[in-house]
Amino acid sequence: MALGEAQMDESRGPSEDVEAEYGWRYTFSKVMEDTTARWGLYVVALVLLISTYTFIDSNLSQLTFGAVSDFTFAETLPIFDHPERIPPPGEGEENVPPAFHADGSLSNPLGTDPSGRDYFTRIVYGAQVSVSVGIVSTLIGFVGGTIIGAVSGFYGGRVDDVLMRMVETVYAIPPLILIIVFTVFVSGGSPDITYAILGVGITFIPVFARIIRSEVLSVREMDYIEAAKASGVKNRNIIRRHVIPNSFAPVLVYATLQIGVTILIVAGLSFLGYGAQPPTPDWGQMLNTSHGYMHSNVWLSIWPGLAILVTIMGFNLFGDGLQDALDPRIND
Amino acid sequence: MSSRSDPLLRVENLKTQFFTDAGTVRAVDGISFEVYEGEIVGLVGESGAGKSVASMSLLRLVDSPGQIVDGEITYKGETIFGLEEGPDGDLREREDMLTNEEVRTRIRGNEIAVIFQDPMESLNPVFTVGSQLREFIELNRDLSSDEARREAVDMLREVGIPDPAERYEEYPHQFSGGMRQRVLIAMALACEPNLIIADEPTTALDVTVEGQIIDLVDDLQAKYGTSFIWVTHDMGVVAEICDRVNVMYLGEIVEQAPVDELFYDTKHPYTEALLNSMPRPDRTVAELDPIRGVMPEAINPPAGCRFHPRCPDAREACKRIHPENREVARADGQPHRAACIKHDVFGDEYEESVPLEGRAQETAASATDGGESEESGVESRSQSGNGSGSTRKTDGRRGGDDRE
Amino acid sequence: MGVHAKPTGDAEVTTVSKSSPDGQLGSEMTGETVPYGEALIEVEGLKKYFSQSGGLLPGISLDTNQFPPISVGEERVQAVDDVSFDIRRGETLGLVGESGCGKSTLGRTILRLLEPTAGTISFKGEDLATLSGEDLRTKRSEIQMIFQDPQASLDPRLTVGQIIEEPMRAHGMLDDEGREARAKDLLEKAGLDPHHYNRYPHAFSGGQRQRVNLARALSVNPDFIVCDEPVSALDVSIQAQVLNTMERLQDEFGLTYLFIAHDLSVIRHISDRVAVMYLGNIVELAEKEELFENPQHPYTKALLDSIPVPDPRETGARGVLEGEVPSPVDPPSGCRFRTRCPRLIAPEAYDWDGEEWKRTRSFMRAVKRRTFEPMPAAEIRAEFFGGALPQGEPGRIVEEAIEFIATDHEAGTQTSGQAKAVTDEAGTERDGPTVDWEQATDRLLEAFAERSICARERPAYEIESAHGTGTHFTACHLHR
Repeated sequence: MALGEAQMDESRGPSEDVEAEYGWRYTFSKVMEDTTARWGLYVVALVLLISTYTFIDSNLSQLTFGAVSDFTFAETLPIFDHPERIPPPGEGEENVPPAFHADGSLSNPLGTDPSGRDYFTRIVYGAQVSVSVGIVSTLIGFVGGTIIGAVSGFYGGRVDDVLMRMVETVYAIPPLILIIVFTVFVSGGSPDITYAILGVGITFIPVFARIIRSEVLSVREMDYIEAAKASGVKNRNIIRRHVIPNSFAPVLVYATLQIGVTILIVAGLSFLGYGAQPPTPDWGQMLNTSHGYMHSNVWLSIWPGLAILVTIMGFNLFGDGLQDALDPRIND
Repeated sequence: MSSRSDPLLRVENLKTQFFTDAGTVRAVDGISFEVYEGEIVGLVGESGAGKSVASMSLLRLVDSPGQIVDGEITYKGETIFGLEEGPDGDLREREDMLTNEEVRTRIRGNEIAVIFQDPMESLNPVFTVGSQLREFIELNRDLSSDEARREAVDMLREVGIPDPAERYEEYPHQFSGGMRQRVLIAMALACEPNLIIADEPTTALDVTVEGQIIDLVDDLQAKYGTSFIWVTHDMGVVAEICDRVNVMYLGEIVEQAPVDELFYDTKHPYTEALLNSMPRPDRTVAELDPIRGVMPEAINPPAGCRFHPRCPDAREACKRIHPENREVARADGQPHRAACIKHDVFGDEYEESVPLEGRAQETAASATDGGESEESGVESRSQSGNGSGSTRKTDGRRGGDDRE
Repeated sequence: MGVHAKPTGDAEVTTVSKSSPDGQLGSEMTGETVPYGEALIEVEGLKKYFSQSGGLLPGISLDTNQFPPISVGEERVQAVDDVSFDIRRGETLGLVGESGCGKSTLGRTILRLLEPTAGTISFKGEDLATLSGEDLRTKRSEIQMIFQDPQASLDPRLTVGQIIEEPMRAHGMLDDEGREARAKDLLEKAGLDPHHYNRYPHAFSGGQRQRVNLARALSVNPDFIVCDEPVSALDVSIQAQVLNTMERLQDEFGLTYLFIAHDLSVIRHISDRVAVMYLGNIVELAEKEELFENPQHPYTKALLDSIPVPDPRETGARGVLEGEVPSPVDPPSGCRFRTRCPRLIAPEAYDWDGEEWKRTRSFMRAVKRRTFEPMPAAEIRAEFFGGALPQGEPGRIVEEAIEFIATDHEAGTQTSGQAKAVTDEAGTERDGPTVDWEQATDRLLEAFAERSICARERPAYEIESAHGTGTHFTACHLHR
């Protein structure tokens, strides 16, 4: 509409200096303006913080006290217990309900699991697995997909045809089945979280490849690419300066959302027994072990479920906010 | 005015505003005009002048955050929009104002139809052209499906689509731009409305196709006696097709005249400047005389006359006085209105006031080049750079300049 | 450098080249050897065909402008077909035509943004069509382009400073400081505030963005700029501002423009010479005054007659052209305009009087476009021929054609009632036994249109100019 155009055109006076609207700082401030995105960011930050802490904790303790591998730093804090160590009979009680329950105690705020381990500690340590799973496997998909997609989109023709047909073949297989088959096949029958991460990452390469490719295809057609060509800018500089920065934003947003999805998938894998193996604390695996206790202690299922829910919500809300912040149409 | 019957459509002091985060955009700010039976009224202006918003307001088709905030729109004695003062002093909608339902069922399509600029966006790509036209006729005219179909084929033939029965079955993408626009005209005419609002209907078309469409509209208008409001930015089209013209600038109508008077007895400096800034197809113009600067934002219009910062005739009084549209001349019993205080009917403040500082020289300079700058801050610079060539900065570079 | 005495621009050129530390640009400035008024670019027999095959189903193509839209077979869109012209140093050559006529393709092919199918593009004596790789890339400092959409042609993530410096950087011109100084200088010359160096494109209005485009194109000091509809996205008053700036910069920098536009008013204002394109061919090329005041090609005339003139007392012909532009996949033989030409030449095979041919021609086109409803033969004769068919052979052919489409022929095989039903239900039974449009069309086209010289030979004539001294090229057999 005529009016909208005029507003866009003239809305910035000539005298005021316009701040850069594409920097990270600007994007961050844009995300913080959005209430839901801000809360998403808080959750993401909290989960990241916890996993970093537990990661340093478990690795530092091994470094320092190599011999005493079952000692963790966290145990020095009153509320933490060792997440993996099953207490000998008499030391811990099995299936203690959460603290707000009549039979609960403050020393186990979320109660204990059937083996008597402190559930709060396990939930907290579970974050590390979920987050690393989410980030690492998304990263695998992201990097692999970006390479395939960018090559495919930029060169087009035969290269594009071949790569895309391959990608579509992988795409056509139900992801969960593909991941399970991959995990079992590669691990030689002894599934582990590492294989799960790898499997999920590889499975999502096609998704990223297609997104990057379609972005590159549309950016490649932009007048400013042609303008750069007409100016005599070298191809690799066109890709570096124009194609990548302009195709990046939507993929980044997608990756953020994808982290939530992979966490969920790996939780599902663990639940099915193809992901994290006991005694590693993992939310999906905890759900797996707890489902037999649905009637006796429903909290065993609720806590890890809640943890998954909140984390995924956090990533999704943040991703949505990032999408809005990076979309120039909404900015204007 | 007495010589003519009552107008078909009367718009008085219409105001449409958009409430945005950045502030209130006064897109249409108090415009008044009439449309009589059988005439084509032009609404011309540059982008951002508010002409599209104004035309959409007539059918109450303004979406949030836009809102009609004041004014009265009367069509054949019915109030499409009207406000009155309520008991608590607030403006409220008048009781005789048509409800949304009434506007939708009785006015839109049946009485007042719209033709949009982009025919591809107005037609649904997944249905055949014929079925869309048929459905439209069926809905608005209470015909059976078969009758509506026959009527649709007739309408397609009427607007000059060859082999209408076969093309009835085709999809919009199989039509060229000109043919699609013909379909939209068929759709607009299908319910025999008394008024058609055409919003830049030929802007997207090639010049030979545009000629065909204008011819078609001319013929159909003569045949059906339909009135048109023709929204456009193209003065050529205005001259070609309109009977009377309203020139809009920044939400206001600054000049209102029969088409011949508008071109040959121009009364408002904006219209004048617009005509002077256009290259002509019929003669070679050696020097274009652009309007200086750009149209300001409708969010914060200049005080006084809204055109004064760009006006070559502006004087000190123009900064203070915000002129309304007044009748400054009469031609064939029709008023010629302009909103410029340089005319006598506005009193003698203009005569007594001094020209705005530097305006005289700037106009002279703009005849060659300087006027093109879009920001006043730059203007002086580029003038000095291209005027006599004697300024410090450019001197060295122009060492071999043998132009003068 | 600067050996020739030339207008204003060269001072600028000299200054810049001197300030270039490595002198790279200066060494490439072979264009200095082309004097003003001599051909800077000579285009000879240039063709650009787009192949429509590819993808998973090669050979099956979709064309929305024809029916049926899907056709089988390798098809090539002849976007630009055998075009020859030259552009002289320092002039503005206007290239005008309707959408789809191939004018943008031509501009891009000359710049080698598209690969020419055939022909030569001689720029300062060097054939651009044969250049490739690094040679072509370095050549781009001499030929630049300005785009139609001022917003889309500026990368939204770069500042205008970076945008303007990019071409200089690509050609290794100046150092960082030098580039910044030059970018600021160019901003000012293009009519912008140099302080806006660090701003992003979206902070500017449409006209200002087009100025940034101008500054970018000028940054590497080109000789030749292709301007593809540079002002058509701008408001009228802004158009005038930008056009004036372009003219001033042309003087100042000694530029040569190929100015592509669909707006004849803009073309008339800015051009020195004008070329008119229709369906991939240049149909007329002459000096501006000559072309606008003494147009010789029927298409040019139609185009000029169609423009709405901003003058209410000017009541000219408007929709003078009938029908639509044919598909460039299968363009008409000979003169490409012949299928719509109001002055299609009568086939010499028959003896005509002028009026007879005129009537036959309009009947032929009405049948081809099916612009009328089938009716009895007598009515057709009355409507198109005033009751009297042409004499001799043509008359017989017309009669045959009428039989195919008349509703009352083959009277023995059907009743008048059936004939009426066909007329009424034209929508559903139009291919009924009595009405055969295709046959009628084929008969008429084959007998008349295909036999005209317009269909048999491709026209190309040079005639005397009535205005000015230049040559006047027109592709119309009326001048044979």
